[in-house]
Amino acid sequence: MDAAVRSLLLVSCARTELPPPGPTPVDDLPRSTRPIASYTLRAELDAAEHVIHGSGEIRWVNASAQPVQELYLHLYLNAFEGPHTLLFRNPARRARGGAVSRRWGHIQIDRIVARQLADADLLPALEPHSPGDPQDGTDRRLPLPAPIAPGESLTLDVSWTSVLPELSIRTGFVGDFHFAGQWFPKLARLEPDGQWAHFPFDALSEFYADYGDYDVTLDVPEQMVVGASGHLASEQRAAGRRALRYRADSVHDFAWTAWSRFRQREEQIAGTAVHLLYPPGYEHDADATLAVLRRALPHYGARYGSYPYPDLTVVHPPAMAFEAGGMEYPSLITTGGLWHESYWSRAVEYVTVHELGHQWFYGLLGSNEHRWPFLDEGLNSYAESVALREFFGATASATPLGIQLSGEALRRYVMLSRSAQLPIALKATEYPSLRDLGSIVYQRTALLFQTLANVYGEAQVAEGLRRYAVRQRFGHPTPDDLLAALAETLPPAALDNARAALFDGHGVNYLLSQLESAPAEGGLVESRVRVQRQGELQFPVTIALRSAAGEQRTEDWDGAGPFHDFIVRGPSPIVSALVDPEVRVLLDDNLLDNAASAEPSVPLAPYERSLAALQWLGGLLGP
Amino acid sequence: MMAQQDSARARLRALLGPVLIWQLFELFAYGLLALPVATALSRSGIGRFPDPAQRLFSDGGLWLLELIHQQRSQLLASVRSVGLLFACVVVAALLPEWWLLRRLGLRYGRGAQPLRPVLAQLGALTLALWLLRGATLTLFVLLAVHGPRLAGLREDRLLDLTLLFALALWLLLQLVLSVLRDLTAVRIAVRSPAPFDTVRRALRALSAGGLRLTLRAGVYRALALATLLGGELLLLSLPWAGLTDAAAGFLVHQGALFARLMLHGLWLSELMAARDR
Repeated sequence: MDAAVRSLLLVSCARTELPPPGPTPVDDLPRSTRPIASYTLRAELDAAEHVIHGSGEIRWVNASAQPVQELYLHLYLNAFEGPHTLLFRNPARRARGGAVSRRWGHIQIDRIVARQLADADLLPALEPHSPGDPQDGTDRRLPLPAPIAPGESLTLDVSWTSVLPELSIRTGFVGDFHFAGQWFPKLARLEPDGQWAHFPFDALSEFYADYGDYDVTLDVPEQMVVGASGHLASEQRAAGRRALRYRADSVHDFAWTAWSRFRQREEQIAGTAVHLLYPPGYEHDADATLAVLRRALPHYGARYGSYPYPDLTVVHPPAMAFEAGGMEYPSLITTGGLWHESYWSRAVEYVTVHELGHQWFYGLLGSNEHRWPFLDEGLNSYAESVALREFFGATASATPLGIQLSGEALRRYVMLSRSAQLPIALKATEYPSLRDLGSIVYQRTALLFQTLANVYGEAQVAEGLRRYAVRQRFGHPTPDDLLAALAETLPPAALDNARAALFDGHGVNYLLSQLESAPAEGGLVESRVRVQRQGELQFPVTIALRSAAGEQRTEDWDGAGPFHDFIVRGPSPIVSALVDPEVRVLLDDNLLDNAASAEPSVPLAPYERSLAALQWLGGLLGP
Repeated sequence: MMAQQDSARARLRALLGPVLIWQLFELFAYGLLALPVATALSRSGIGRFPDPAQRLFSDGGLWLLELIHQQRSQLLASVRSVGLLFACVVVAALLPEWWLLRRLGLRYGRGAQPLRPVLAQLGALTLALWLLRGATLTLFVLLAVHGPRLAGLREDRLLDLTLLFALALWLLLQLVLSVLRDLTAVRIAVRSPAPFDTVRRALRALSAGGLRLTLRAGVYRALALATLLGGELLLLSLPWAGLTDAAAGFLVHQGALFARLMLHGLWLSELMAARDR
C-alpha cells in the first residue's frame, strides 16, 4: 500500500507514447499451492444499510510441527468501531486516509462452531478484545476444547454481520459505492514452529495470512456492478438480486466492491482476463490503465515469474471514494486519480504499476507485512522504479513547472526527510510515524537496491530478485530468503552493504574534503585531493578530476578506510574534483559535499527566477 | 491620425518615468525578499560543482531537490521574516502608485492631492479590497471542499465543471472588484479626500459603464499575463538560455514586468482620461 508513493505521484508528468508491450512470459512455474486456510462464504449485501450478512465455513489445516489448542481470528473491521481502537488511536491513520468517521463499522460473530470437535460452540470462548488491549477488538484469541494435531484439519461453521463504516482506510461505503476490504472473520497465520503470527490492525501495519482456496458468493442488489478477487464462476438472478459466485484459489485474502454506476471493460492481457471497473466519465483513464497493464503484466511476469491467476480485476474508484484507491488484494487492485489527470499526468499509470507489482511482492510472495514491511513495499517500490523507467524513461517521472524530475530524485527527497537513521528491516509498528515508514521502507529500500544495481550490476540484482521470487512463489519468505538468493548473484561486499542497511540502519556519505595545489619539482604542480567516507556502508566510487588546463581524468577508490588521498603531479593544478560523478550511490546522505573546486561560484539563475516569481506574486497581491 | 499617434506617444512618455520608478522600487524590494535564496545557494556548496546552474536545472531534478532538502530548514526559518517584509513591500507599493496617479492627475489637469491623505485612503481601499477578496475566496474554497460531499452521486465531470464555472465567476468578480478599486483610486488621487463620497461615485461610474470597463480591464490583464507567458516561452526557446542563464532571464523577466506596469499605467490613464471627458 502506498501513502508515500501517492504523495510522489501528485505532480504533473509529461505524457509520452507508451512503447509496445513485450512478449507474454512463458514458464513452468506452479500456478497453485496447497491450501492451508480456505473459505467458502456467502455474503449478502444490504446496500441501503451498508451491512453484510455473512455465513459459511473455514477449513484450516495445522501445517505446523506442533499441536494447536487455540486459534487467532483477525476481525479487522472492528478497527472501525470508534475512536478508541488501536487503528484510530494512532495519529498515523490520518496519513492513511483514516478520517474520523461519520458512521463507524464493526464485525460481529453470530455463530462459530467447530465441526471436528463435536460441533463445539466456540463463540462463548472467543476472547473479547485484542491481547493486552481492552479498547481494541481486531485480534481475538479463540481457545479450542481439544488440540489439533499437526496435519489435522478443522472446519469452522461461521455466521457474522459486518457493518461497513463510512469509507476510511480503503474500507466502507460512500453513497451506494461499497468497498469490502477486511470484511470477514479471517484466521491469522500459524508459523511452522507452531506460533501464531497474529497482530491487531494498526495504522502502520498491513496483513499476513496463509494461502487457501476461496469460494465466495456475493448476493447484491441487481443493479450493482461487482468486482472481486478471483474469477466469476457463476451468476444467478432472482427477486431483484444477483448472486455471483467467485472462485479464487491459492490466495491469502479476498476483497470485493459493488457500485451501481461502474463502467466495465474486459481485455485479455498476457493470458490474463483483465476486468477494469471505472466511474462514468473516466474513459481516458481506462485507456491509460489498460495501456500500461499491457506493458506491466508481461514485464513483471518476465522478471518475477508469470502471473498465475486467470483473472485480474482493476478498480478505479470515483472521486467521492478516492480513499479506496491505491490498494492491493490478491488478483484485485485499486488504482486512482481524477477523471482529468490522465490527460496531463501519469498518476493513474504509476499507481496501477505500483499496485500491480504487489501481485508479486505481497500476493505471490506472501511475506509478513507486519514484521517485514520492506519485503513487500520496499521491494515493490524498487520493482516499480525499474518498470517505470523501462516504460517512460529515466527522467520523466514528473515535470512540475517544466522541470523534469526523475523517480530516483523524488525518492531521495522523501528518503532524506526521515527523522532518524533507522534500519530498513524493522517491524511496521516500530517506525515512529508513517512518514518514517514511507521514507525508509518504501524509498530507502528502493534506493538501496538501485544503488546495488548501479554499483554491482543491474543484471545481477535482477537475477537475484528473480531467483528469490521464483523460489518463494506461494511462500512466506523472510529477509534471509531474500539475502540467500542475492548472495548467488552479487559479491560478498554487496551483501555486507545490504545487511548493514537492512538490519543496522547504516548509511554512507562521501565527501571531498580537501583540494590543494603546490609547486613541485621540475616546474610541475602537485595537487592533493582528499575523499572521505562517513558511515558504515562501503561502496567503490569514481573520482573525476579536472586541471586548470582543462584536462580531465578519473580515479577509482574502493571506499575502504575513512579517506583516501589522490596526489596528482602535472603542468597545471587540479581545480575541480567530484566524487561519484554519475551518482551511482543513491544512498549517499549528502550529494552537495561531493565536489571541491579552486574556483567556486554561486549560480545566479535560481536567484533571478525567485526574484521574478516574487515580483509576479507581488503584482497579483498589489494594486 | 497623426494627432492620435502624438497623443498615444505623449501618454506613454508621461507613464515612462513613474513606471520606471515603480519597477526600480520592485527590483530593490523583491531583490531583498529573494535574498534567502541567494544565501541558500551560496551556503549549499553547489557552487563547487562544475556548471552549477546547469546542474541545478538538469533533467531529473536530483540536484535541485537535493539543494531544497538541504536548505529547507533555513529557508523555512526565513519564511516569517520574508512574509512580514513581503507585506511591507505590498503596502509600500502604494507609494509608486501614488506617484503614478499624481503624474496622471497633473497631466489631465485634475491636480493632485497631498501625499498623506491619499496614502491613507489608498491603504484603506487596498485593505477593503483584500477583505472582500478573502471573503469571496473563503466561500469558493468552502464550495470546492464540500461540493463533492453535497454532490453525492453525481458524475465527477459535472462536479468539476461546476467548480470550474464557480472559479470563473469568482475570477470575474475579482476583476470587477479591481475595476472598482482602480476607479476609486483615481478619484482619491485627484479629489479632496471624502471617502464614502468617492466610493459612491466610483460605484456609480461602475454601474454606468461596468461591462465596458470590466472588458477593458480584462484585456489589459490578459495582455500582462501574455507578456509573462511569452517571456517564459522565449526563454525556454533560447537554446543558450533556458532556465540557466541569469542575464537572459533577468532581461526577459524585467522586460515582461515593465510591460505589465506600463499596461497598468495605461489602464489608469484611460480611467483618468475618461473622467476628464
